[in-house]
Amino acid sequence: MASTAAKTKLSLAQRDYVAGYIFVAPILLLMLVWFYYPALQSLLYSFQEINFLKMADARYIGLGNFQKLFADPAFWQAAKNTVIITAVSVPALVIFGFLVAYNIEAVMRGKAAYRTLYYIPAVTSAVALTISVMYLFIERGAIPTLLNRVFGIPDVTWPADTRTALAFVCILVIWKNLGFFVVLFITGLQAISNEIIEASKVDGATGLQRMWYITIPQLRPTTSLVVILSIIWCMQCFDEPYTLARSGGVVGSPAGTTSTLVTFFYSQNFRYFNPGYGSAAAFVIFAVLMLVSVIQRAYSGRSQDHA
Amino acid sequence: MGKIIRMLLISVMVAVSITACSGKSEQEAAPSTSASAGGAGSSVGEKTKVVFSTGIPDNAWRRALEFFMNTANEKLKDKNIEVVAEYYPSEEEMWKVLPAQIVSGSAPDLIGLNNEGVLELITNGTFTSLDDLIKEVGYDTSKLDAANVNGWKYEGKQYALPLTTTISALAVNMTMLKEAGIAEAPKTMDDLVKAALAVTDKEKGQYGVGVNLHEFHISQYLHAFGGGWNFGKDMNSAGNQQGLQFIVDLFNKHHVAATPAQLGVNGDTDAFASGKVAMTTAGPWYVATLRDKKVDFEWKLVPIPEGTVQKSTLYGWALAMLDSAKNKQAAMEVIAAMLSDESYRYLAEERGDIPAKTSFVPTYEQLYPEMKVVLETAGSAVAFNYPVAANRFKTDLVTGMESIIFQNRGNVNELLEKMATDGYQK
Repeated sequence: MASTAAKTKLSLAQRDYVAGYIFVAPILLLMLVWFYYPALQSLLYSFQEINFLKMADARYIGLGNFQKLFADPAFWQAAKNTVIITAVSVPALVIFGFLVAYNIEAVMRGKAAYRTLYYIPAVTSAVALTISVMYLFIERGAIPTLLNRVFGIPDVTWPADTRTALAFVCILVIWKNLGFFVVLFITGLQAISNEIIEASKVDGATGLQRMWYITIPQLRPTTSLVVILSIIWCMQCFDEPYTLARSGGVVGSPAGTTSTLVTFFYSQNFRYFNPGYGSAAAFVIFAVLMLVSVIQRAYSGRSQDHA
Repeated sequence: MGKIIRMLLISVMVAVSITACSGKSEQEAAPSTSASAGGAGSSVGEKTKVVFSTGIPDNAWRRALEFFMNTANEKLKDKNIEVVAEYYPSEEEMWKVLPAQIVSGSAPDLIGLNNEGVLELITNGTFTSLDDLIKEVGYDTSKLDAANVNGWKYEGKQYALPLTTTISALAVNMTMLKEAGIAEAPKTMDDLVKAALAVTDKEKGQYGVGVNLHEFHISQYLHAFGGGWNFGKDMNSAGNQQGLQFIVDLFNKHHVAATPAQLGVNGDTDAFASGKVAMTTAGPWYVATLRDKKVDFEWKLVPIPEGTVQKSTLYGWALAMLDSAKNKQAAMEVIAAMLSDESYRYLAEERGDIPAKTSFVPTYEQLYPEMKVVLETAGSAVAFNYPVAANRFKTDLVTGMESIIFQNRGNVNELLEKMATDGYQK
């Protein structure tokens, strides 16, 4: 009787609705255990003074960690460096990613080889890549000497010089991630209808006009994805500065010029055994990323409406 | 509705089985961790297992540790105690994982480490004091190097017992010095500057002194001027000011120094072995490395030159017991068995490390005569004595020195004043 009553109570749409929840339940359960619970715990830590080695002595200090964080010059240095890495690398990744993808699509032969070539750094370990690239930027090496002659940039070991270390990190970030974004742009380019391209050719549009008036607007969703992903990845930059510290100095060497928000968070948690303060930093990073995502989504939604 | 209930049940079963699988794989991935969850008291049959952990920088060190443990297991057979290893890829990794292991109750019983920054672990109660346990197992610490043993004491309590002794030295490329008309290795810091000025040729990428801006190397200059970190007290002392200023001057006044990173090499040993620097603060590990690399120049290890005093730094690699070890007596038995004559002989003969047991030092001296003159300074050597929050202290020191040297931001007095105000007590 009860099951008959339930059958009459739920409409087909409602049953689909419930079924949807049931299908996502397993992954939700896992996310609850492996993501939301630790995130909640971390949020609680951010309001406590804790020593990782003496967790039992944790004490609640309200917004103390956040107040200390915003007055900490090391945090602001890390934030500034992260913003610079993002501001330099994101446009470079978008522009070069698009140009490389566009040209790969334009070539008649060896597309797969080019794609593979550009994708190799993306699947290479950041540690290995950083160490390999470091050797190309040593004082009196080919690249620093060339850049010195052409642009007057000091001929120094780039990762070890306070004037060039952050630029070196940007180069690594771009080098490492470009291949992935090239693949995304290629996917976007392949989705553009050939009919539109052919029609523009019939109308006498030049190659440059086709790129500007057809390809770029058609790639807007892909570009949005590339922008948001590259911002998130740049904001999370860790492997490159961490690897640089292995050749001497501390994380952020030289003189804190390569510290990032994530290396700051890492140092607080795992080097200084201070998870309360580290969690506060993590939540600031999280809040900034959320804000960026929301702005990006809002902007992208509005652009699509216009389109 | 029945369909929905069935789907719900299937979903729950899938989730449970995935969770169960991940739980199972975790247990399989860390068998020695689960052994240590029971601490030293956990038994396999009649055997008590003691878990020993450390960061492993290379295979040679792993082989040495396995030799120590195999020897210990032989000795402990009758007592039904067995030591098992749980390695971390590096000491850095060990410090990433260990706090979580302590919190979760799955930490090892014993760890091996050097005493460059252990005060934080002692004051936080991570390590247990060994004094009573040493008496209980009857281990004779008087046979070990007293200065080294004392380096592991805090407030009169012993927190670890050493296997190796390390004494700082100055590595000198005699070929470079002789080519510049200097016949003797420097005895004072003034000699060092003179020699460095004579050999530096930036056009050739050749520098007088390699200064690794790392707390170990920075401390050598401080100690040479009578300074020291004194657990965070009296940081802004005259000796510390002179020591740090000397380093700054090597870079910015005399222009004779370069860091390994600036030279594009991986650390000070490589910088020296490559012939890019004539001198660098060093340690006994240089002997084995330079012999292995078969460098094509004459080199020497000499005592750290005198600034205002001659002071080397002495420390060691030792075995410490975590306070969470369940069967502390068994864990102490393992320490005593690992600190065997066989282990010290292996260190002297196979590894080229200075054994902490003094009776094996003559063997080492015979095999590694390059270190003889340095070993003579052991009597007056000092310990690092970094403050409690050692890692934060190290970062501030290194970053501060890099700012002064490379960015001309601030000066050593300001840096030391700031560090003295902090004190790094927590």
